[in-house]
Amino acid sequence: MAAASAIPAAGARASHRPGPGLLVLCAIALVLFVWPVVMLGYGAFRTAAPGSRGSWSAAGFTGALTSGAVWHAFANSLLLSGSTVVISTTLAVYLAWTVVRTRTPLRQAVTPMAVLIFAIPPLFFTLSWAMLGQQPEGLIDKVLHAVFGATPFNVQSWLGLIVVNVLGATAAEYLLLLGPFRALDPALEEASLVCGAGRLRSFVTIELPALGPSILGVVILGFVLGMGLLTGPLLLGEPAGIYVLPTEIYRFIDGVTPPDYAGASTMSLLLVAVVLVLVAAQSRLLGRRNFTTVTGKTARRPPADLGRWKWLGTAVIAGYGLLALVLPLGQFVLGSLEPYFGVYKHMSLQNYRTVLQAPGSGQAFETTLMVAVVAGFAAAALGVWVSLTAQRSASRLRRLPDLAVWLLWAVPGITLSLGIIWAYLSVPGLRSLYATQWIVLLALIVGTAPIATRAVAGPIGQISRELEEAARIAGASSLRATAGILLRLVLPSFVVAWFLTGIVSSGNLDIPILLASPNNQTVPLLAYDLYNDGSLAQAAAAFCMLIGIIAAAMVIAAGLRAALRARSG
Amino acid sequence: MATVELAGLRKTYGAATVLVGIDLSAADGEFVTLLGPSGCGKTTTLRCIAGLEQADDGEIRIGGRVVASRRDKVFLPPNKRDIGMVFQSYALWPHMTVLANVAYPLRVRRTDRRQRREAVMGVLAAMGMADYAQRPVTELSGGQQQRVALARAMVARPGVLLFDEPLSNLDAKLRRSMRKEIRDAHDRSGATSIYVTHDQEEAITLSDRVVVMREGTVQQVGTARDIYQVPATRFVADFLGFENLLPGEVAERRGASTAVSVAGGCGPVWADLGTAPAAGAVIIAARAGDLEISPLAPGQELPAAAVGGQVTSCIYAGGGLEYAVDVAGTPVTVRAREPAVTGGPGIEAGQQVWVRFDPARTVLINDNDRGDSDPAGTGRPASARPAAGNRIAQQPESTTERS
Repeated sequence: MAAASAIPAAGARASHRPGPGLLVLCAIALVLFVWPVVMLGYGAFRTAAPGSRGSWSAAGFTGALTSGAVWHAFANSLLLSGSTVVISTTLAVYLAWTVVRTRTPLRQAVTPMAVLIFAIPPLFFTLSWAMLGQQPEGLIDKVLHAVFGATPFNVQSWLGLIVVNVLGATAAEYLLLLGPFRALDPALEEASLVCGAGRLRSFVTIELPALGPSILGVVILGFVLGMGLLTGPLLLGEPAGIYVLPTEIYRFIDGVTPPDYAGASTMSLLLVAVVLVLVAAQSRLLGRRNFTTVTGKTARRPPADLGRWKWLGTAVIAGYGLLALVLPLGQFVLGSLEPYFGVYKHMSLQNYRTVLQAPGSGQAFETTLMVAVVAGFAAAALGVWVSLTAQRSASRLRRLPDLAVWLLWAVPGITLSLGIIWAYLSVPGLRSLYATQWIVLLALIVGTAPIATRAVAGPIGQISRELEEAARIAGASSLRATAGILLRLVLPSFVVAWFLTGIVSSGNLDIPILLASPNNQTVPLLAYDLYNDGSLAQAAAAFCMLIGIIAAAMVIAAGLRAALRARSG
Repeated sequence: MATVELAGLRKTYGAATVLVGIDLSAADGEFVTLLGPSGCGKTTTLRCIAGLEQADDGEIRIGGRVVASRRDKVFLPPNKRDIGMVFQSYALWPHMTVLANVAYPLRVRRTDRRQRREAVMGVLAAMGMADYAQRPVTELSGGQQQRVALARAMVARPGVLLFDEPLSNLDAKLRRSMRKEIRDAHDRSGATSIYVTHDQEEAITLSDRVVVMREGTVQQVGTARDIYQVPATRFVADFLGFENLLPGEVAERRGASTAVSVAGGCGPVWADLGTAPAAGAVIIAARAGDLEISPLAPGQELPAAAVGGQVTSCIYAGGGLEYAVDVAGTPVTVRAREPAVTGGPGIEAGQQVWVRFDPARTVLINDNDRGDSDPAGTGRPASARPAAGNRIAQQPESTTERS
């Protein structure tokens, strides 16, 4: 064995003592990310609401676990999530293959469409489809009535729920699959052709299995996120008597008297447990296998000519665009201009004025904007810090913040809100944060940190260490090398992550619905309240304004990114 | 019968013309190499033969049957051409074992299980990979993967084997041993092989015939010996390692030998190889190792068929010395064994020397860069195409006819 004072080889990760920065980050990670989850466990065994005096009891816990309603909701969650993910993954795989491997007309529209759909908050789809399918005032109803004289389609049903979920999930899964599809060595398919197999057989026996790990990862992610969905089931499921775990959690807090916090916490733990089991199963099944290799040569690979079959692809793309973008947007814009929802005459901007002049609206927009900008910035900064630490630090503790962030994928919106309520209300000093915009801000930072981390981890990984080392050799101190070189290089992806998390934060409903109070609402909450009151047209107006702001933000983001790129040559 | 014939193959990618009328024919069982620098079109030609790309014009026949012809609207997809192909990146399917990879062509052809297993194990044994049958291919080394790729290409006994720079990802020593295995496999199988490489050593040692390509055209076709010893164009000579390409003027013809004055009047130098006009501008090509060098005392007369010059540098080149000699402004490179070995006089920089060319190893090349210099030696000009290549200093136009 080498002497204890041997210098480690270049690139070796010696176990250094963690520096103060790393310790601070670990502390932050534990407090922000791990503690709320732990407090969920605490809350499952308390008798009183968070912040009130109570005692230990297993009654809430056992009551929830023996309740037929809870297990029914659980089964519904599994069913909904499962069927959604099967359909959306199939569609996403088809779209990714069409875009990357074929010459189908309209394929260039898929990625911009998917980015747009991904940027638009899920509440948008739910709300617009709720309006579209509203009987008898919605657009679909009107059209079907005119053509057939009757509508078989009721959006407040299993079918409606699945359709709405699939529309949004497909876009996200497509974007995640695009990379692996592109990275797949085209020679794999060519080798199969040369061996005598046709294109379809090559795709099924060679390319799909090679992409298997990526597809499975996307499936599990989709399933996990599907289990935690609130908005769809809340708006479309409840009226039809379809209950899933997240809506039950919400109901236990907001819909029963007295609120059963212990039961809600128990159900949250159930959700977290299921997700953790799935993720563990995935890493067991796949290990470190990743079959996509990036080819050294960018081969000029002519895309496949499908002949007449390419029109099927075009039809699918057009259909998806219609259902996911054109119809919902159209319904929203139309609905916002109508005097009352369903009355397609006397259109005007009256609803916009009403919404803007209503007390609390201005504050809602302000809060949403503030929260989006600040939460986005903080989450992106956290993401950069965590990723940098995980990839560059030499201490054994470097993975801890990353793992803590990872844990949050298992804690969907409403369970996170509940956990934060327990975490902060139970501590005397922090109690005053409740019902202020700060706790909403905090929860959104925590909730969007996983996305931010994932967005910057890749680009950071691609920055060669040699760039910093060159700066050090030239005489710069460690801090200067990091700040001057590394952070400048990370800046474009930081900006992207900032806007990404800002957009997600601005459209989020799951967190404000539990944590916001009437005098610091956000626009999604405002829209939801208007919808519940029956003021559908105003809800549409409020949401159109939000989407307008998001669109403007995306344009600014693209401009900023282009400017940054141009400056760095 | 698995002959391969290409006639007039053309291909453009957007504004760039990648293949400018390629003609080629490979006899049954022959090993033909397409040799050339990056971008010369050799891989595109191979992929057209495979059916992975479609030419814009021209005809491809395999075994006498037309498999691709834009004019007649024929295109047989790759899976129907009965070929085997070894890719540069091996293209082994990562989710399958060695056995599954090699058995795939037979599965597709619906061979029954017992025959399939026999054939697969047989070809794996020939490659020395029988013990690895159940391993996932991701656990193999580069050389092992290459052998599995070769086994897969051959297992269904195709009539034509295609190789796309299969050895370029291996280290030098492994390349040499794999070369032999590839040639042995070709000989055993009796298939016609088309091999693409930019490495001239590979081409020379492996092939029955070599096709040298440049910028989408065929520069020369011939046996390895022909290409190596008698390059037909300046490009081929340069690519095959001729260090000296001297512009000159035909001075005299005597039987099979031609005398050429080089470097503005020095020489003449005699050359027996290659073709040249009866008079006018010509290039003399000679390898540095085929030249003789010796000190020239002041006042000493130049020996016959030698040129005189001054040594500008002398460096050790592993096994000998390399001299840069300035002959009336024209640089000439000479390689010779060390004087300590030959027992001859030492030569240093600054010295006056004479350099003699061996006529049996000196090649005449027509001094034009165009492809119409009759590279195949068949008496017919090859595909005409103006080349933007390096132009040597213009020689005065000669009005005498060419031979």
